Amino acid sequence: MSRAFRLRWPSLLALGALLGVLQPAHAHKPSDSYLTLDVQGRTVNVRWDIALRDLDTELALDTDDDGSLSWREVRSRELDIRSLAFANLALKSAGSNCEPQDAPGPGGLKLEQHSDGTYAVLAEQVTCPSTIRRLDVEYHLFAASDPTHRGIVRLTTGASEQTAVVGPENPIRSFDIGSGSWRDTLHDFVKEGIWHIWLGFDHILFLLALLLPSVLPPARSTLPGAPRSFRSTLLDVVQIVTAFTVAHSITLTLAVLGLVSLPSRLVESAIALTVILAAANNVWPIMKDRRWMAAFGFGLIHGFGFASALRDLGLPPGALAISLFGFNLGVEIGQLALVSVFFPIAYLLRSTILYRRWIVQLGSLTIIILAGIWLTERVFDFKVLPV
Amino acid sequence: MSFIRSIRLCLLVCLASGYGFTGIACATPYVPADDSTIVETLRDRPLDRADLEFRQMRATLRRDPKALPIALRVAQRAIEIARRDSDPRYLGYAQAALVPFRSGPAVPVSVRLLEAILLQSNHRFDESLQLLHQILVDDPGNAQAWLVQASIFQVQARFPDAKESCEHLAPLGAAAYQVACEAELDSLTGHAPTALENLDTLISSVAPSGSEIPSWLVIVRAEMAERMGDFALAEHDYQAAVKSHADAYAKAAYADFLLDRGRPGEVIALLQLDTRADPLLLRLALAYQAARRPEVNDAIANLSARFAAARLRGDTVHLREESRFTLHLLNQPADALRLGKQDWGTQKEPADARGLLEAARAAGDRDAIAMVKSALPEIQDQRLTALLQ
Repeated sequence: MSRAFRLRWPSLLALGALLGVLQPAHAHKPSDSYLTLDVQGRTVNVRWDIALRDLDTELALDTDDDGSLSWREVRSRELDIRSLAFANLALKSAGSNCEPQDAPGPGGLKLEQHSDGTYAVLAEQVTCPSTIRRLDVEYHLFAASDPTHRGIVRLTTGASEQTAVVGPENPIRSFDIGSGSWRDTLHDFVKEGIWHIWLGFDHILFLLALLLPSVLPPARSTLPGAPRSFRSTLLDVVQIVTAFTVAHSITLTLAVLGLVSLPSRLVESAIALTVILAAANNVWPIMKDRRWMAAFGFGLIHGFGFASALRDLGLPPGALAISLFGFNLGVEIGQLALVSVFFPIAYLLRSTILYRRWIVQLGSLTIIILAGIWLTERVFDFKVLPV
Repeated sequence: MSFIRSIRLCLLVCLASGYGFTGIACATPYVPADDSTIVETLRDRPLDRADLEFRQMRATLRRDPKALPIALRVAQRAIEIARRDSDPRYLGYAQAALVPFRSGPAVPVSVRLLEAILLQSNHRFDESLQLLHQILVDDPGNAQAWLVQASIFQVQARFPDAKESCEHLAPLGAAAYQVACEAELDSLTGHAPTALENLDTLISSVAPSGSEIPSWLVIVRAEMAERMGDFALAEHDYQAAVKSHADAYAKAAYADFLLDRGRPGEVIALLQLDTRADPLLLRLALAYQAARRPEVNDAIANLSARFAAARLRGDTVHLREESRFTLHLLNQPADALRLGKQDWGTQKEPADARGLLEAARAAGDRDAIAMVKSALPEIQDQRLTALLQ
């Protein structure tokens, strides 16, 4: 035991005098809690061992003040213990909080012996918004009442394990989970892709604007006036959709890999312009049968728009290919879903005045106006519309 | 010990003892069958008036954290309790009481001094010295600060600096402290017989024959006597220290003395109930080993768990104990040497020297022996003489 800590020079000195050199006060143990986090996909199984002694200091569990804690004194305060604990712990993934699934009912509290006494064992399961690639742990337990308290964090995921110590001097710690299983990553990004195209009204309107005339008789029709055949329509749709897909896949890949980089304001404004042009083409036709070329050319620009959205999601470094592929696949799936809704309706209505005049003509004008507003917003960097 | 190894040890211990010993839970948690089962003992003694007073002060402080006089008293008292019970959590409470005063342009000297003491307890000697230096620039008449500074220099074997700090004490009215301070330094720098004489004189004047010698003084003399080989005097003083003030330091020092004299049975009797304090458990384990008692295995497992828990936390205050444990109880000279060297990086007291020398001899490292010799060139300590050859 270090002499540095032995009792020495006690209060013979002036009043309020401090002690001299101290005892090796480390004979007992300083305060620790043990936080075990088991990460599986989107879920974290939390197990937290907190010393009863520390809980008593904070919550006054020893109600009869007899110097010992009975099981009754501990379990009757379970809710207070849980509240205290989880008010001082935050688990986050990709910027959002991970929340417990159900409100924990009473009766879950257990005990465990550690080297310096009995600990309360709290268990909880929290779910994060998506597959966890990086878990941020924020820990503040006992920070105000005992700055020497530490949380010993042990994070397991599959076979791997990481440990860290958190405390008032470093309350936040991040753990890289690795990409998890490639299946999970793929699944997540496909979902994101689908979601992105469904919420991407500018992309949808662009595609729709191009597809609206697909069901109408082609410019060089063999039988002018006759409704377009199914086969011809399908071919047109497939051409346009494929051209669009190929184009945006190319630029999405190039942008995500960092090989080409365009400022986003420029890209977004250009996308709005492409929508205008595609819709305008329906009202003042310039390209009737070669719309697939427009789909390709303008599709290149749309790809840059997808890229920035994908980058915002955070790409896992070890799974770039899978994420990119998955996202792209999601976009195509979403696209296909939309087209397969649009197509039967358009095909059935293709001969009607409703379709030819109202939907195509008036619809295209509406799209032009809407896209015009977008263009203005994006060029001058302000927002008028909610979408 | 790596984390994985400690897990394996934990499992081994679990199998052997049926329940989790370590900081890493390895057994399954349980629910007591009965509401009236006692699940934790919070204190070994009933609350005395001082404890109740402390509680009250803490409650007052909680309501008004910026009340400086109360905060100082809470911090001081917490440090005293930490020392008395060998309980580091109270150091945390002391620190907590001081937190509201640490920022801002002018932190009061009283707060800074307590912080320096807390840093010292955590073996953060250089930071403590920095703080003390600042304090002494602002308040050169602060005898307590000179004292703490002298102590730290002594632990670091910076004897001239320690002596210089001691010399400030008498002019500030703490003459007795200066004598004792200088005597201890003298005994470590080749003037042991004179030092003992001076200490004897001091003790006679402070405690005329018959009256009780203050325990802090008697322990200084006990250690000095042991280093010089006057075992009768050492034993007499150790017993007095343990009787009057049975704190962990005195008990550990006496236990070491008894172990060296080949009297493990008495160590067991002395420390049997003191298993909560790690340094005392270490001496107990060594005694069990010397007496060939089967309890040694449990004690070893327990200590391993505690050192593992401290390592998980990143604490390095136990290096001296851990080195000794690793050498004598685990029989791993290479690891013990590594720990001993790490310890030597922070502290250079005779006990640290002994630990390092024993490990160095066992591991065959002559450079380490030379290193100790150069740091403590004039040491007169019968425990080290053979080791230094």
